Amino acid sequence: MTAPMPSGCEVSWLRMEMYLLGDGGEAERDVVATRLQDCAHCRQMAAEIREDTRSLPMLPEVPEPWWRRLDLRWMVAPPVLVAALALFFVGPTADFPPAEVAVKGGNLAVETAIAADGRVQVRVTCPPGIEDLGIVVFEGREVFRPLEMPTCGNRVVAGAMTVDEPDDTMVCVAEGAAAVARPAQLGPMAACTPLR
Amino acid sequence: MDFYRRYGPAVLRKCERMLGNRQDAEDIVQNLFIDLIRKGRTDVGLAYLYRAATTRSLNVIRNRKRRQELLDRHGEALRPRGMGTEGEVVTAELLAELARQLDPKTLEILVYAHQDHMSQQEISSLCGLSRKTVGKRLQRARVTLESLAGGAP
Repeated sequence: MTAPMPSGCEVSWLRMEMYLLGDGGEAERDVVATRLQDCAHCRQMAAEIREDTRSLPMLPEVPEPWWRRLDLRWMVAPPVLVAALALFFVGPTADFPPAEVAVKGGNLAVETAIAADGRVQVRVTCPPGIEDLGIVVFEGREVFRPLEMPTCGNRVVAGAMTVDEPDDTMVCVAEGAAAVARPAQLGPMAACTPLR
Repeated sequence: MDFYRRYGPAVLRKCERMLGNRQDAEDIVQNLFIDLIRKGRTDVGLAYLYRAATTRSLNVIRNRKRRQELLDRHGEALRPRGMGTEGEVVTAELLAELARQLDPKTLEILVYAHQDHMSQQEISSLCGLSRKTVGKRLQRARVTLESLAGGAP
């Protein structure tokens, strides 16, 4: 802690670990691969990870929750479909504070609310079948993308983000992470709502 | 268990960097994965695991600090020996000192910036904070770091 990591590599440990695991998108992999070609420090970092072959401690036998052992897809799919459609047309239930403005874009609708602890809650309503959502937040002149993003199916991400300027914040979601890659080019298929 | 085999080593390295101590790091990793498997949350990615591991490691560091204070109060004879290399202890000690002076979120951001070598943009995404907020908190943390380095309280 007395000094930053001596790596001198612009890629963080997390990004390097993800690259070596094959996680992350193609664009991200290209960036890291280029850094590995150009930067000896990055190669050293990668080597350090690869060479760490120490074994993991054994995990005791942990039973998975009973509902994970069942193949519930066919039992669950119809009710989920009905619930999702109901929420899509009727609106959210009372447990999620309604936002003053909820804007629909494409097949999506997004709502936000600020919890008592100041963190922002986000809920996306969308029809079943949408696997990949992208989210982007405009706070004043800042743009950022929280990693913990809402999934389709009306899951509320309770602490998706914290903002300093709630009066000047807009949250947008769109189908597909690529759709929010260029925030300036968000089209009518993105659902956006101001925070307040 | 595939989930554990895939991500466990990366999380273990992360915890070991923070704690400077393999045994504590292994305990955190084991408990973290056991909790996730029990909850059926084996679909999370490495970014999520990094955050969870960071929070748990900081808790261990805070507890160590409390334990150290107890040891100081109750005498040298109870002090444990061989807690890693000198450099590692300095790292963990400094973190423990910072834990007394910084709020948990700012401390977490400091770890990402100084130890995990993340950019402000990356921290912004990981923590769900604007880059400006990350920058402000880092600035605050660096002032505290400098005051510690200068010997101020």
